[in-house]
Amino acid sequence: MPKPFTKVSSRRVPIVGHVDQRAHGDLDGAGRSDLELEQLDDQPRGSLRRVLDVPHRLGFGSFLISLIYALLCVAAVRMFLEEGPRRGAIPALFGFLISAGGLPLSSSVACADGHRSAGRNLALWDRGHHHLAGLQHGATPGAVDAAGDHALQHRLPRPAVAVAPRFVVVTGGGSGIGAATVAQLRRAEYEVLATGRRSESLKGVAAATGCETFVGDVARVVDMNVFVRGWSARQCRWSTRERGRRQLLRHGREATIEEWNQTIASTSPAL
Amino acid sequence: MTRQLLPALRSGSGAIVMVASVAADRAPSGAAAYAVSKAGMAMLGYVLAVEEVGRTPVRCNVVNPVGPEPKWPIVIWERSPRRTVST
Repeated sequence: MPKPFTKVSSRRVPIVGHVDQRAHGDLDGAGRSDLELEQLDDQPRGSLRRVLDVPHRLGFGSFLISLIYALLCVAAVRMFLEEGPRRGAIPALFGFLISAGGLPLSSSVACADGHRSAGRNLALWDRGHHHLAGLQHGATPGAVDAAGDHALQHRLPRPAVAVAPRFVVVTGGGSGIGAATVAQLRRAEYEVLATGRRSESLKGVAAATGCETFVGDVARVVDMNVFVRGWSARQCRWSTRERGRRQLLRHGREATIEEWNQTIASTSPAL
Repeated sequence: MTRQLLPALRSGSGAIVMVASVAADRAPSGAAAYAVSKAGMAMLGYVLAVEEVGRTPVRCNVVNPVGPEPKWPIVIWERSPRRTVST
């Protein structure tokens, strides 16, 4: 079975792929990446900020170039001082020009290093989120990996997906602000249940957005009782699936039958 | 609906977002019933937020959209245990 997430082993991209133990500690004792922990714990840890806050890192190449040009600069100054202003003027001028050009060159090399790291980190971030989006919708890990690779290859935009899958009930979802809210939430890959009194408009919204619907009047107690019973069962199923997914991610393996039974018993005692 | 779903939300976590109207805060002419109902809904949201804050992980917010073509919804009041917006 493929790994749920791609772990990064390169030491050039430590920001997302690794847990920086000095900065964040080994949060779960398993050396998981910050991205994985964020998705497991449902707590935003500012990964995006850290991804975008890729430092202007001075790589070894840019350091070497800076050193060479610094030595050239020193040699030019010495030549100017030893040979006198007349004979040393031209070499000194070349030296200064080269050293002056060396600074932006080395800076550009350093920027390129940083941008490569940033691009790699963002790509991993994308991949993780596409991966997560796929898992939310019950795709197999293999299919999710393929989708992540596709997103990585074609540079698909990051989906505005929540860190944790959320279930939202929208009353009056058949028209107006409710319908617009349903559309926005569905675009953000929330699981939405739209309620309303008119089945026709709800069907239209469901066809357009793929949400679930419930026809009923919130002012009628009978309708609400039916709705709450259905909602509780729905939440129970969702919670069971979600906990199973987290368990799969946390252990990096398929849960055993006993673990599944324990999960189901803890989330749906009525079953 | 809120009364029936609140126990389930308390057992886990969740948020209640009530979409009221700017009419809950400002008196519109010729829309008394609408304004009263929206003001009642908004106050229900305020009371729920006060009751739940710090005790349960349930958040309650009231959003007051403006106008027939709202461009920016105005959140005039918010009270929640967690102020961070997790999206």
